[in-house]
Amino acid sequence: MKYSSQSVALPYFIAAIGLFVGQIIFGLAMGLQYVVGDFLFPEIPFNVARMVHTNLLIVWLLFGFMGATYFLIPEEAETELYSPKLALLMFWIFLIAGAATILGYLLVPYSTLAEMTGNNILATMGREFLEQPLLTKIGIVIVALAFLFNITMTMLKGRKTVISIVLLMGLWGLAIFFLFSFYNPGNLVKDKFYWWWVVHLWVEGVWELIMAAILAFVLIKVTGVDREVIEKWLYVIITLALVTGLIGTGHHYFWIGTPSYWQWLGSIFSALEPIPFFAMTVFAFNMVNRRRREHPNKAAVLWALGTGVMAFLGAGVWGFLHTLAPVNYYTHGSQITAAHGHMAFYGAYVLVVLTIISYAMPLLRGRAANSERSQVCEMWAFWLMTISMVFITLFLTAAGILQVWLQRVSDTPMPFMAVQDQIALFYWMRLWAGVVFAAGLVTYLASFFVKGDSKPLIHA
Amino acid sequence: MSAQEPDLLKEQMPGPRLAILAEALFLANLLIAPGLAFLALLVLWRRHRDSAPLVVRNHLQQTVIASIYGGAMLVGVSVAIFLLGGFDDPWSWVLGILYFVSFHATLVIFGVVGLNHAILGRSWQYPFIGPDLYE
Repeated sequence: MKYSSQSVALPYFIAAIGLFVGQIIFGLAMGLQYVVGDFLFPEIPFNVARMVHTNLLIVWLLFGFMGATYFLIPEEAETELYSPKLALLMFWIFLIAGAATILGYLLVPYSTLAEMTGNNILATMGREFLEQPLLTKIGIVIVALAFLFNITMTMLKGRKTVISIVLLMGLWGLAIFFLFSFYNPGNLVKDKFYWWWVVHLWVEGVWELIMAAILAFVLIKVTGVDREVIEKWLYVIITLALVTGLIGTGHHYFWIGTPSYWQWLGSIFSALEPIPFFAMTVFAFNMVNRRRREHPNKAAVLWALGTGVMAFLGAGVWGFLHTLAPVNYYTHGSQITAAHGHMAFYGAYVLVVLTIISYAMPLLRGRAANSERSQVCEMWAFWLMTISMVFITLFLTAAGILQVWLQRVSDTPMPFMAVQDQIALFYWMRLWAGVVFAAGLVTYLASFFVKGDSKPLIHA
Repeated sequence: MSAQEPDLLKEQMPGPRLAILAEALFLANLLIAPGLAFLALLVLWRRHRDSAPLVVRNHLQQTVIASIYGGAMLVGVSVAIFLLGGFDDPWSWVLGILYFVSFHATLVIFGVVGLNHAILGRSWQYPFIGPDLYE
């Protein structure tokens, strides 16, 4: 660790991992609820478990992004963080607000929570992924603004690199597009139209910039490839991401009441959306294959390569699978969407956060890399989680294809719940794959406590 | 490092252009221009298969053979699933789509690895479907 203020990243990473564990526990509970409908009912009904599962995902990834930023910006800017105290204060505010929100979901009926938190003043709740109470949303904006102030001030006083500028663009975009979560028009079509400006423009827009910047930073560190080479790739990737992803929003506008030209725009531009992910795969492999010496942190290299491949498969291939309007006419909102969502989030964002954690954690703990035994444990975790996520995706895809056929294509279409019974076998298989994923996560946690001879830091 | 060897840490595209083009056409055949990109690859292979440097010849041969075998397995097995199972059977669709997507993605990942080797000026043999390399 070159700058002492980088240590601010440590609590962010620990919180991210803790919330990741929570997300997986609720994922398993939901996986069981799919096949044993009244499991945990009425204490934790399915809709609440789902809300906690998805909200925890978003919050832990945001913790991961912020931790990554606090770690890499001082190094890129070659200066200490503008205000480490502000960063720590925001950490606690965000953690407490996040935990209070999750407890609110679990302990209070959602409608009561809405009444308690001022939803009657400005109604923003009740929409998928944006279920947070008004107070939490305002808290997120305050934390984001303080965070961006801190990072921007750090950059202004230090060196400006392509990586830090791309990262900052992504983070500002993240904050700006979140403001649309406060806009909740009465017209349902308009509501959905702008709702996607948060959801889609985050994950298929500005988050890709954040992901590419973090990946580029780690690749520079673990491969030693010249910064100029990596920066040129970064320019290409973010251009492709923005050109395809912005108008690609149109693939969410099929048959929701928007003009029909969105079917063309959405189909064409989102068919191109796999290209930046494809470029990222080539980028990761290319940089790793160029290196002349083995970086002692082999686990971080594995996570980085995994990010490239799994993001391409999940976001690129599985996204393309159902993005064309004539295909989406049948597959809209089926388990195929769930399959894509699982692998895309894991491949693109979970893995990139775990990549930076894998690279940064040993440094934050005063060593160049963890011991061989610890790294082997971490790599086992990678393979367990990644392979099980591939199977989760395949089982959900199979469930989705069968669902589409029985519910929408067949001459004698079956009702939704009757179809759910027919595809229960795949839900059971998904559940078991989820159990293996959880085992991978436990292995990952264990890797932090495995002892052995770690590689010492060499100070220049 | 000798004067002829490119510096992999500093050069953007150190490998031979023809090898990179061959791998790019292999990927284009899978992703954006099926058939057309393969024809272009065949033309490239016919023109340079005897005269190009060893690394380029390897990439040309690997991509042509992998395209033929890979394409045959991709289309052949998918068609067989539908013909044997019938278009009216939902299980044909489950198996057919899962097979097609998984095998297609595998070929793309192979192509990415091939493209990387070409960019770095190294030969690479496609697993299972690639012929032996020229030595």
